[in-house]
Amino acid sequence: MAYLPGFHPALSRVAATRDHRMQENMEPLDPEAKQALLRQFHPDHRADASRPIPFGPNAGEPCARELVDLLAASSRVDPARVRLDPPDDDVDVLVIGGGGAGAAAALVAAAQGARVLPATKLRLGDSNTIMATGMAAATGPDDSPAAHFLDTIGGGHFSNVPELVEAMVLDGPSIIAWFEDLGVMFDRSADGNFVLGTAGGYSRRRTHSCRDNTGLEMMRVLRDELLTRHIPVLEFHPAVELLLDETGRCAGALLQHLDTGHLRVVRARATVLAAGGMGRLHCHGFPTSNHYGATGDGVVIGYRAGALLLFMDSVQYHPTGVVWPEQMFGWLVTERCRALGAHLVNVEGRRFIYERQTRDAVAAAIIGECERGLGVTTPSGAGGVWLDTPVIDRLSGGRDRPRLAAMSARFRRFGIDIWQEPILVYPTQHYQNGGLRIDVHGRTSVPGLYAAGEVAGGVHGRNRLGGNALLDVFVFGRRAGADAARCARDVAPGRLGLQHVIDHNRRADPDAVVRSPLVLPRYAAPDPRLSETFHA
Amino acid sequence: MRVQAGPGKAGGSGMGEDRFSMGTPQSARDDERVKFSYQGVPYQVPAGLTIMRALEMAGFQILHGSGCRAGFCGACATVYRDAGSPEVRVALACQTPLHPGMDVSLLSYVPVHRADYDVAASADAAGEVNRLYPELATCLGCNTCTKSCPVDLDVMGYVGALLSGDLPRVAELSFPCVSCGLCAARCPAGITPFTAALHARRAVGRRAPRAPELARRIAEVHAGAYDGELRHLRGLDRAVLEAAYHAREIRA
Repeated sequence: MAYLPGFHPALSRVAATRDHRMQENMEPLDPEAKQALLRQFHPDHRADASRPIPFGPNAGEPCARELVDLLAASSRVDPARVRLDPPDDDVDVLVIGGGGAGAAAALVAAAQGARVLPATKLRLGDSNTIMATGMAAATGPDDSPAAHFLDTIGGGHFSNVPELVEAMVLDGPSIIAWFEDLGVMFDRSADGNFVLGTAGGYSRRRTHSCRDNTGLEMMRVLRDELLTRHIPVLEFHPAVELLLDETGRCAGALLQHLDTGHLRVVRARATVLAAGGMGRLHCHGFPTSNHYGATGDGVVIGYRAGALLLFMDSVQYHPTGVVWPEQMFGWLVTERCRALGAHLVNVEGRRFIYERQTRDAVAAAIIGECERGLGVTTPSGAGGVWLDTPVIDRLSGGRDRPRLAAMSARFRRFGIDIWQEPILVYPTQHYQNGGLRIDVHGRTSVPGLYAAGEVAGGVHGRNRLGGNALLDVFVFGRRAGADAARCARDVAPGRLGLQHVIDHNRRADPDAVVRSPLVLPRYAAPDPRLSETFHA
Repeated sequence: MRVQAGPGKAGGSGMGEDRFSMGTPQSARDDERVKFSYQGVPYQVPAGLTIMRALEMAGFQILHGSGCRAGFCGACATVYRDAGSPEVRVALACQTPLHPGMDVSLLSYVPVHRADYDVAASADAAGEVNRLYPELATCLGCNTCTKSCPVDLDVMGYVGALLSGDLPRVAELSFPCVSCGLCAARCPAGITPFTAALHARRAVGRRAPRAPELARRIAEVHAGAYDGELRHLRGLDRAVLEAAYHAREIRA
């Protein structure tokens, strides 16, 4: 569906102002103006954005309200009805999650000789990793891990856990080399050097890419390597609770087959939780760029097992989610567009923010522009601003087209040529900044339980920079996998138990209509013959 | 079972008692309704939806066949037939607008063949791929694979390049592959083009010229060359650190 005639006046203003805008120099916001913008328009700052967590290790701390509903809900498991002995599987390392962090953890743990069982809710690779466009690492000649550290911690408003940032930036170059050895096809110039890109908040060119299918390329290579190493992967088996032994140590998990509903008990000497984030909770009703399984399960079951959380009131909204065509609503438009020079333009054809500001500020600016009535409204009432992608073509003389090949193909399928027409965008829920607290080895506050990737918090503080998520998942996936394999050599789990779930269910909100973890978002239209309350 | 009908009342998996709204503005035109079929059973949904959203609006909770929902992951391979057409066609459900009268079925899994190999070991990757996938040589040249690719790759073109040993060409033509398996499901010669292409791409990636500076940077990190600077940054007072951040030179 191309642009309807109603869009034409606004579209011609974008075209008519392009020459002028290309002469314009937008200045970054100064720190005070940036903070003011965030306070006024960032969704995290809305009065109803968060609620205190009602009980558990972080009781009283603010948390995204949609997640509080799940943290406070009863378990979908009734411990009284579950027989845990004997376990179905007895392994050294259980990895929960089939994205980048889980795959990396499984490969590394297996390479150390551990018996590894990766289990995942959907298919191996169904994850946010697969959609990522770029991976940061300080490999450039004028870059350094220290510069990467400073950019990351400033982008996170100085709230990041410094040790985690340090671990991430120091591992970055080795992660690139690991992928070279695995046969990932990085974008390179003829001399072998990487084609480095940038993203909001970076002081150096730092993002590595494989065209605009970077995460896809890494994920399919990791999947192929897991298959080659004959590491069996349990697909369509989401974890619905962790298991603790009598000492409070994590001793595995209870999985539930998505098709049959049958439970599967996995005993493990160490467990790596790499279950991703929560975009599919649709905070404040935002659309999301996340994959289908991103329902916050990892935080829910980890918290229930006693793991401490960090920054759960901090959610990243990616500035540029698709508003039109409506079939693409919420899909991500990569930050690379802004890195390559695309302008953000309001209904009057004017730029309103320095486009390479950090994501939180750019998202807030777009929301502000729409709230001030300077957005463009679609027939169904959604609002957005223009991302003027034809500017990229003008700046590069068409040379940058291959760097956005996958994205332009997706728009072409729906009748829009991004090299001729701009894209209508509005922020989309993108990333869970917070998560389970970890140390540099990925250890959570629960013995035997590791966390890596988006389910963990602290690396990015209260705002993540583009390109750092893909690095984070591999750095901490590898670290967690390695330490879990080491730890598995020294410990033996005791008796498997669900006492923590019994305790949780006693405190859970008896009136809640949901049970958690959610496992999948409920997108199926309800039965119109039944009232809402009847089947709630 | 690939999809679960209805909002999933209690029983069965016990996975569907709760409902959760998509929470997005209505991305459909409710005034205009479209008829389609899923596995032959008719449904009516608002106009303007993708196949995937149409299934959900018809009451299906998708279990297998929904992944990234943005065209990257290949989870939602779908076969369909348009009203009045004899031809069975293929698509990704999340990427394809619903046509009125379509009869649709998700094909969320293809039991594909792949061969093990050590990407680091082989000196002759082109020969190795052809040895591991000898059925490549039985290609009939019918072009069904290319016609079946939902992301419009020249699949037969890269099968030809595999046979002639031109792995960089294979990599170029197959790079955006989403591994949905439709080419393998449709190939009358029993070829699995995309797993052979993945092998080829990994061989190309593995043998690419290395970035000259990377090994040095890694050696510096291991030698602790950045530890002092990082320790200094970590030790700074918040105000000093903030000042350092805002004063840093931007060369991106």
